[in-house]
Amino acid sequence: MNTQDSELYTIFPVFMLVDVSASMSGGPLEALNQSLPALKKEMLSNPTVGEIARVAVVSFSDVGRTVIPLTDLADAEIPELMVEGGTNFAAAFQEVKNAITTGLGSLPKGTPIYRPVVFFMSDGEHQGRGDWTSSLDELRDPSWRFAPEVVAFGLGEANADTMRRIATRFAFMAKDVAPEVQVREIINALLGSIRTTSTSFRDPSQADGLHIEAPAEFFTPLPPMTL
Amino acid sequence: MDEPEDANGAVDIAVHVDDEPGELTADDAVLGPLALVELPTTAPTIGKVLPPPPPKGAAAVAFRQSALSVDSLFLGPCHVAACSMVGASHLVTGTPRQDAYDIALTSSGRVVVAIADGMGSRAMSQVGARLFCEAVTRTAANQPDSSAATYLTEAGLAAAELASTAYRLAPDDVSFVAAVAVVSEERFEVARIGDVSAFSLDDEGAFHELFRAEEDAHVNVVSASLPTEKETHPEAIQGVLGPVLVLTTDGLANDLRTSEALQRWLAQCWRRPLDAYAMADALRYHRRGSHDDRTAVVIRILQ
Repeated sequence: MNTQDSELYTIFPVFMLVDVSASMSGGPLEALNQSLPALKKEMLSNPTVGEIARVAVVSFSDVGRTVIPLTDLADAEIPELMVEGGTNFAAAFQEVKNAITTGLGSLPKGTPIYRPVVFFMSDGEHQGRGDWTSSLDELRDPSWRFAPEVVAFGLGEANADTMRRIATRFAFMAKDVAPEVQVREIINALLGSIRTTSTSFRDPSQADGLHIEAPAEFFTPLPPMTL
Repeated sequence: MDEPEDANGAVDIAVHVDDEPGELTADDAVLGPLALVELPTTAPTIGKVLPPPPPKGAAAVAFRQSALSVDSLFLGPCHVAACSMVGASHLVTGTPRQDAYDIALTSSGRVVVAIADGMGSRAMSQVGARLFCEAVTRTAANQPDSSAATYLTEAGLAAAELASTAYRLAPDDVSFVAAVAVVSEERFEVARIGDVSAFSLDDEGAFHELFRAEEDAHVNVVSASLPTEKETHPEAIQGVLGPVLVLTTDGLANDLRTSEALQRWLAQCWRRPLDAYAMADALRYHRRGSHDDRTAVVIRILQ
């Protein structure tokens, strides 16, 4: 009897939402492109991460793109992210919402799922026309069963209050080091958070079990924003 | 997520099995003389798994628990087999097992079982779990005819007090979820706070979950824990005792809910009473994504 169809494996869905606007060209995007293979390597070598975490990569500039749909990164081909145009937060949040819907909606009914997490990374401000906060609020709508935790990392010219507005609870500004170092440390924080959350299960008072590893050496934590 | 097409999705795990432990073999040339010797097992591998991490200990870990705790004993009207096993998540981080259980027979002939699961994010939660289970047995010794809910509530308070007075640990530091079962000759009752689970195993080898599992709930979210400053309102169930009652912590419960292969394996293992070693072997399965501590207490009414 084939047991595969009857197995429902626990999934920790992680969505990387990364800014690929023109200001990210050079060191920051190179650091990002170097980090994805490192993330894949972790998936291949650490069972407590690799057997549970499913990762998607969504890039945004003027438009949002799902570069890697939610998948076992160990099996994925890692494409190279390319610099694009401006910065449109609305497009970013719309696309990651689509990626979440597609990725989680296709899972078999009854699949045990950790609350999804979106790791948002940007070095700038929204430049598109119109309001971006409505797209964010749709993404974070608590009545949506797949509503994710959004963790925001700002670097470069990013605005701290904007990062606080984007984050559900955890927002950070990268400290004043080279942009490529900032990007690398953000990815390290992401990886550490996946690692710790995957192994730290649940806790009713610690915010739905998400654990963020953002060393003070590289990040300034921002106070939560109350709307 | 595509799984391998072979029947079990299994991959070989590097298991070094020595017929004569102590002598170097060809495998040692590859794995090195420090490769751990494992006893053979027929426990299944389910799904695509990565090699398990070597067990390590982290520095400055206080209140360590052993990696394995097992029991098999005849108690009053029952046979009870139990095992609590450290999960891969703790092997990776070098932190201790956070599950605990304890078992007692009251002076009135009732079997009382306590099971607890320390919150993973709390560094000392294994202390709370352990103190709770011990407190249940102490309470049962003093109050042999109380309800499972009473044992749970009073032991939760006792655990918090003892953690504070003896070890100077705040309640938040020792948070855990827990359940207590009380079994008499014909009836059982189970009370719980949090997501510790209870199953019955019928004569056909089918598991039936006794507490309603919350649908669409996220795996890493728990609604209640102990100790708590709020008034405790345990969930409680009771009924006529079937052949086998099983209490489990969440890691094993989640596996049971989502794996038919595991259901078959454990039903096969538990169709007869097990000695301590066999009980431990039953929980040695490898399953994709299953890295939590595993604890099961199997209570079988003697015919």
